[in-house]
Amino acid sequence: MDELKEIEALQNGSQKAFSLLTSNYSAKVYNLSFSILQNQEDAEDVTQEVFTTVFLSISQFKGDSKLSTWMYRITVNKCQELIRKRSRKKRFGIFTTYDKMETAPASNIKANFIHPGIELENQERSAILFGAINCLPENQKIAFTMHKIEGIPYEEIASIMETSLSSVESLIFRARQNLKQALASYYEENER
Amino acid sequence: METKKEIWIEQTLSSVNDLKHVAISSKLSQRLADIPREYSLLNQRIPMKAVWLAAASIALLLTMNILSVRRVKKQSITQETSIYSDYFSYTEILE
Repeated sequence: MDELKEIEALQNGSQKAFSLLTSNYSAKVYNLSFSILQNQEDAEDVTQEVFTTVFLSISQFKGDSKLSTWMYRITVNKCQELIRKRSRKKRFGIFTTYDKMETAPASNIKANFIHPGIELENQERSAILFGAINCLPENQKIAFTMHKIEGIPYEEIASIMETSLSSVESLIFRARQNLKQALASYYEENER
Repeated sequence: METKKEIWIEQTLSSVNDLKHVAISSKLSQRLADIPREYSLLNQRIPMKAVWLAAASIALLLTMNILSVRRVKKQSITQETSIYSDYFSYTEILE
């Protein structure tokens, strides 16, 4: 079924089309939210929320972008909502915020997330990297995760984040620089 | 020449290069499969006909209330005027 027909069927309330949509996109939506949130339960909840939103608001989808881009945009928004909810709880009463920091101090890197899709030999290092990614400003974290971990091309990231291609390039470049700095201080403190 | 630290940083940055996608659990698949049924049930539970019927009943009840309040008010005003006119006609007789 081509995308236009699929959208039309979804807009007509076809359960078969919805089932096809879940089988095509559930893993993509789940993996993106899992990499951003670094928590299995939260990623599952977000995935369910994304598909519920899609089911309820497919009639409003005008086809300006690809269906996958629209779904990724919903996923990113839901993840951001959850991250903000989490950080509001954490930062209550604290005046300094991590979002304002350009680089995260090494002591803030918590290497406790083991992604099940990573080979055993890389698990320890990837846990450190995920810890450092978690300390990045929100937009850098999302752009970097989408590109580096999920392999989404720059153009699609720009469309998902509703920004320009140069902004995405700049976000990913700054994310990489910040990660290098954070990892360098982590190395000084722990690995040497 | 790259230092040991730089090599470690590069290796850490590329540790996610061969990351494999995780399959979703059967529990999550079931949760996703239940979405259309759940929301269709929700729509079935409150049919639009019933919603309009309830709205019409409320509107009818309100109209009847307003009309009866108006009628009671009108009645009490005419009653009051008749009492006053009786009183004045009585005082006129006395004079």
